[in-house]
Amino acid sequence: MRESERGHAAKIRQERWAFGLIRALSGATIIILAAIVGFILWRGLRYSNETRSPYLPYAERSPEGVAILVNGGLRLEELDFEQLLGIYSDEYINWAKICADATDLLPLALEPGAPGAGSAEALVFGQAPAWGALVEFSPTPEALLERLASTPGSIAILPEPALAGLKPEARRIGLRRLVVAMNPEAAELVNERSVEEISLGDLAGLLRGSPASWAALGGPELPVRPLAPESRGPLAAALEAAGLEAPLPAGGTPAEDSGQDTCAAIASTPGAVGFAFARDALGAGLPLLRLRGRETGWNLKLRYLLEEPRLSGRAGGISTIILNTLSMLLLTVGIAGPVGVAAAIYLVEYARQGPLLRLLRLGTETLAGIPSIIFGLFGMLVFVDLLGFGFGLLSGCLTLSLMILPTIVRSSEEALKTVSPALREGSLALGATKLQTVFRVVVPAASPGILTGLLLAVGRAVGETAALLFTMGSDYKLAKGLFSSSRALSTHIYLLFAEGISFDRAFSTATVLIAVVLAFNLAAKRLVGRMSRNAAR
Amino acid sequence: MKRRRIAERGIEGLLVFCGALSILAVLFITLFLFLRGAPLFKKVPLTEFLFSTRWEPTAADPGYGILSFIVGSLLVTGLSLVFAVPVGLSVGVYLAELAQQRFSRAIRTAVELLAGIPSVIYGLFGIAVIAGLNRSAFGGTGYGVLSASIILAIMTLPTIINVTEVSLRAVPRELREGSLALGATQWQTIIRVLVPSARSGIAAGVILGMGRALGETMAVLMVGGNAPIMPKGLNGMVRTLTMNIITDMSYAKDDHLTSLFATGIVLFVFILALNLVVQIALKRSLSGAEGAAGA
Amino acid sequence: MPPAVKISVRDLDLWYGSVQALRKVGADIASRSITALIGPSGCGKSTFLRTLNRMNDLIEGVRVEGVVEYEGSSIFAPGADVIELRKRIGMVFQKPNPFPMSVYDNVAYGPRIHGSPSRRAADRRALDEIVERSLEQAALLEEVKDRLHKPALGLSGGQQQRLCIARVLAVEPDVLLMDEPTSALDPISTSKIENLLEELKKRYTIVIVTHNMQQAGRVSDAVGFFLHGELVEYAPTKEVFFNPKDKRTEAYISGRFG
Repeated sequence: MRESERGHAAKIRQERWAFGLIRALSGATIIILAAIVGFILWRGLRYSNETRSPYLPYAERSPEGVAILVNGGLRLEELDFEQLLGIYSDEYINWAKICADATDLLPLALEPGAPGAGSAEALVFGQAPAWGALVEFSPTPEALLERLASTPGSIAILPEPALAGLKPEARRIGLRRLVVAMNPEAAELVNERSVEEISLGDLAGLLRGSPASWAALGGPELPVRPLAPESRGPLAAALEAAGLEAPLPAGGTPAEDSGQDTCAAIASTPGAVGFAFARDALGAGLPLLRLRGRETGWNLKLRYLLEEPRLSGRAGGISTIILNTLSMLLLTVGIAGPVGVAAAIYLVEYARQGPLLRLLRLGTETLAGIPSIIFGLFGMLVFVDLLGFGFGLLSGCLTLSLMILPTIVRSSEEALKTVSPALREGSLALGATKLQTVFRVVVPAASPGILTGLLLAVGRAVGETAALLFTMGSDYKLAKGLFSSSRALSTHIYLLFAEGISFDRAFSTATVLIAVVLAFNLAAKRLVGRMSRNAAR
Repeated sequence: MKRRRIAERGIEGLLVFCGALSILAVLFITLFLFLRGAPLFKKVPLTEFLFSTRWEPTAADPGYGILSFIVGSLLVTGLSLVFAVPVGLSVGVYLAELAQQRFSRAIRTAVELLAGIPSVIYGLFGIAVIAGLNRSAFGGTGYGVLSASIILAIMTLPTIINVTEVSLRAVPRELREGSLALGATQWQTIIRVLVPSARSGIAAGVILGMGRALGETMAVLMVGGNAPIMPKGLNGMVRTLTMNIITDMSYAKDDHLTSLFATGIVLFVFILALNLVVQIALKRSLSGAEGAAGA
Repeated sequence: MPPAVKISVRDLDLWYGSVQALRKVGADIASRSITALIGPSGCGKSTFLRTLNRMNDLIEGVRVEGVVEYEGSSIFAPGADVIELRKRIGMVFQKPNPFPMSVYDNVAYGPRIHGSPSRRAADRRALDEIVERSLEQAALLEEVKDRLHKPALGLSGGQQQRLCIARVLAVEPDVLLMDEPTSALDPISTSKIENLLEELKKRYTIVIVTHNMQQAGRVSDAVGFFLHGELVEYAPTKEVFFNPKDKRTEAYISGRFG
């Protein structure tokens, strides 16, 4: 007895481990949910992206004495040099690729030869001006500013002195043009790899000569030679203004005069690296070191919910998509709700036990198990093509209705079954017909359960994507009617990802979708809770 | 009075129609899928379609072999069950047998909400988190069989948990007491009596989850890699039947389009077979429970 | 010579939540005898029975006060081993509850969970012997020896109940608690089990709850009459049936209520 008692104690201790494991796994479901929802919300609300750009994150307000101005309606704080160059050499025709604005782009400048026009020209083009055909020239700064203020999406470059005494109704923006240029030999391929990028943190070290050899960064066996501009030139001034510590001339050849000379020095010194203006480095054909950084900010703003999407969702918000989703849900519930409840009424109140009822039940169960992509195929064949509804709201909603029908039928059945027979008998005993009894007594009594089922079904419908892609279409404009192609939130998320438009925007939209889905599910749960409390009373 | 009678008849007829709509829908889906997809087999022998891995529908000499996708679907689904079944069973056992009130309510809510999360959101999570973790752990692109299976495992978990819990609760109390009265511990009772008694129901849950996984499209599409080749190992890119349909759908024409519907037929047959097994297993589990109650 | 006391109960009170189900119950149950517990439905006799092997622990909100001693030591003592207790005090339920496995596995269930999980041939033979002996003792061996590996659920109700008895015997208990073991059975099966009780009494202490007064009279050595949670009368069977001390016992036995 003693011995077996000790055996039992050991057995129970062992089993405690098993129970602990099971408990932990159960708790893990909560953690998984929290991880998914938390991640989507966090990622949807904030963005935190790794950036890879050759430009140092310092914007000059007046580079080489030139002011860059944009029309006040434009949401833009700064440009980098290549964007500026592109704007003035016809590479862009609207702002969409530069900022979240889709207006047409109008580059403005002072006429070449006008007083002070040369400095702006030199800022953009250096010695070899190549103005684009789209650039509009103005004879005087006043005319330029007038044009700027009156044309949305316009941008102007003009020398600071020309601004004196004028009060422009435009916004001044910054220019990022500081880059890290390297000697071409240092960027050569070694084992199919080359030095391409460096984190902002490591840059300071590199410019102080550590590591001592490019090999440590995956490049050739070549000593790192940091070069500094002379302390008087514009490059040195720009670096000083940015608060950057220029590399000490540690054994390297000190560069002289302007930025161009620094570039020349870098080009001619094996293993050299140093700050440069993008214009000069690009002009000299020097490889630029890409800088890894991280930028964070708010992703989901109220504006995103209220604005219309533009350019496939690259710009603007998702207001029309939210409205389309809403009409999709209303239409779907409008179709599937009555049909599903009617089916449940038939199954519970009318159908007799037997093979027919079993067959109908089997139909519901089978329909519930069919994958959404098959529904999509069917919807496309029948609603889109055969019945000729085309890609649009109606085809999509009919397809969705079929999909969520089993959910509604089953939950309504459960709800109707819980209505006590005494209620039915009471009504029938008063001389009511069966139909009257069903619609005036049984259905109202079961309505909270039916409503719960509808909420759950809607929660499923709102997240559906595969069945909608080939039935409802993907037009992100506001649906004009039953037959107009329209895009739902879930489709938008997928397309933002699949068309490579924006991960950030996909997550913002996902945040909205997950909020909607959770709201429906929690509402359904609430309703169930209230029902069971009422039943307990 | 008579008019009212007729009106009632009319409404009742409508109810009958609605009641039959589900089965009609199933029949129509089957019919249209076969009508649209089967003509492919006039040009491409069924055996070639099923057992060839050459999928070059746009080539001059087009190849329509979907073996890679069948294998991909089965591989991804199977692996997802390997992850989901132990966890799902454990959680089901916990909820049915061990749970304390408050903790179990939290778990139940979590499971319900997991079931409600749209697959495109699982996909996003998969791209950003699962594929990323996978990439840093095993290298490669991170997109492939493993990532897709993990996402699918999370997605099928609620189904397995729910059905396990329900079938464990359906085991008569007498069996539990009978085992405990013999001096069995709670663990022995669960493992040796309760789980075996509920096994048909649990099997039904697992197969149900399998059907879900097999038919899932968006999430696997986003993390699977979608290369139309035989998956090379567990971290290789994979294309499943569902992915094959949705990828080419937007531009496919003629025979190519027909071949996508034919892919749909194969998927549909798989799903129907699984459904049939579930129905049988559930029937067995219910009658088994009644039989066990004795008397 | 007075029979040795197997189980001693004193001042036992039991509550389900706020409802008191047992009030100050006291009884000494003699070794190797059959004690029958009778009384109307809901009188507490099953509750009392389930207290003896602590099956009531499984029900939420149960509170017990008082003393129950098995072989001189309290079953509620803080260090008491419930599993050992249930192994020594076996229980047969009202409804036959064979597990959904084979006849053999049902009987082998107890030895397996209490033994080591070894699969050596010697152990297998030992297990075969235990199963055979237990079925023999439960007077079932003859009927099932050709279908040992068939599902137990295929047996008739009476066979299932004897299988459940065999299943308990295989654990080699000391006391058998039976909760209306024949109420779900036909008369022939009932008489088979009653005959079996006579046999089992030689080796085991048996406590049986029954609704059937004739059964109590036929098989038991002592009878306890419960009413509203009280043990009204507890005495040798003959005394209770022919010379009850309490008016309420007399009224119940002569069939005036219950």
